[in-house]
Amino acid sequence: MPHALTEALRAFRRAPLLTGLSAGMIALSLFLVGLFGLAAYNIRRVLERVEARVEVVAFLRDDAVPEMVTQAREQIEAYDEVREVRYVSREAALLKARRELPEFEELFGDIESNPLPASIEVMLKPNQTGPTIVERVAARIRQYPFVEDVRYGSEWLDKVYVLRRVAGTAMLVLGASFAIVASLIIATAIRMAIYARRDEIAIMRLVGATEGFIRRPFVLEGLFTGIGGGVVAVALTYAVFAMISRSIFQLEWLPQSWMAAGIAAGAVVGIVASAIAVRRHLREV
Amino acid sequence: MIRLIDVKKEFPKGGAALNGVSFELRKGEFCFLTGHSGAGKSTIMRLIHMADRPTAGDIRVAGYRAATIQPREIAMLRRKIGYVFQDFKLLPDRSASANIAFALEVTGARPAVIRSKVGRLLAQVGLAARSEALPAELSGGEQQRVAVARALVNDPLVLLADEPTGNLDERATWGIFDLFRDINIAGTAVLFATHNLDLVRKNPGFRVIELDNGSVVFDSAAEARGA
Repeated sequence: MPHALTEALRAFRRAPLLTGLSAGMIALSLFLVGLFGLAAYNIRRVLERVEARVEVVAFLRDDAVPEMVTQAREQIEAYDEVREVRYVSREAALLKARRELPEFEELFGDIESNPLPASIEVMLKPNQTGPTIVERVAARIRQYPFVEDVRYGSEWLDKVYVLRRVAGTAMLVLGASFAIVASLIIATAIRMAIYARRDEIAIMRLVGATEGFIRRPFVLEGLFTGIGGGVVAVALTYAVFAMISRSIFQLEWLPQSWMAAGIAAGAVVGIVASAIAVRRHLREV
Repeated sequence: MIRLIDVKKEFPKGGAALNGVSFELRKGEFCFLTGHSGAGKSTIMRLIHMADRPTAGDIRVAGYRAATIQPREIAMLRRKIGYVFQDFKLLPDRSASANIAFALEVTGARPAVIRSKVGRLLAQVGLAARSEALPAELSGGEQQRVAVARALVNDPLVLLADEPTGNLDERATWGIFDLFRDINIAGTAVLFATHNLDLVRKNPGFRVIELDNGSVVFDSAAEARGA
């Protein structure tokens, strides 16, 4: 291994432009993935905050019997998905409307009777806010005969989830595409390195070097190039994050596990691409 | 130790390089392999070194068979075979000692062992004072001495020499030949391919195998057995 390490590091000194170009291209590829990851991560954080506010509101008929409502409230509170249930009386609803909609104060002042229905507001547990779960809870609540209508913002909730799925899929597709581009760049660099050292390789074989011994420095070179590219990509992504946060709007920086995954992705792309290139091109020299 | 049994080798585009060559090289033997250019000398060397496979027939070298040898075994076998070429095949950016050390590094030898062996071999080939010189700073004869030292570094059973004096003047040729003879006297078998008949004629005690168009046309050992 010391020989492989020395030779891999020597490759950077021997062809700094080529190895620098490879690392730069990997950095650029992973940087673009990083930018998209930053966007996807921040969308996810926004979604999490929106999801935390997801609630099901059941509007009650005017003739609802209070004892039945109390009993239903206790039953709903016992649902696995439910965190909290609040009863909002007609009077409380009017007060809330006046407080939250001051521009309609005049209208509320003119009316003789309260037009707002009583309602039950159902808050869900943090991990129980998916569209299917919300739909299921709403359907159960709708079964009560004194429930006039159930609202939970199904349309926008569905759209938010679609957006999240699109963001996740796009990140995967983009990541895979750039991984292929980075692999091709590394493979080309390794191929050129093999041809540049073909006399040395021939002599290695002449004196009894195993194929593994010959391959190892090239594979390590790919690994180092990938790690270097990954680190540069993280730094570039951070620079963009800092710039946007300072001058446009505050973003959340990626968790450490995401950064580690980015660098690891660079390493994996580097090692796999170089291993394939070495296996293929060593046969030609 | 080396045995060729009815070995045939055809070129990929047709035409025969070897037409059923058979001979045996015993432990510690010195043998000239002669013939004009294209007679098949280098092909035999490459086949013994397992750099190529015969089209038909079999080759056995130090217990390995060409028909069944695995890639990793080829590497191990090559550590038992020294190989010297007409064009030296030295790494131009490494010193004489580094070129010799390189053959030990690939076997995973410890640095102390490498230093000791390289120093001893440089002295053996008469280049102790030029150990740090690059190949370009050495004469042809000196470069070939470095190549011989590199070929000996793993204590091979046999030394294959493919026209090792082809690029050298007469004085250097005899110097290199004397070096091979000394190596042989020390116990290493030598298969010495050359078209320098003067060299062969002036050393009548050694075995000679002559090739022509891919066939053995003369083997002094067989002649002696026949007589």
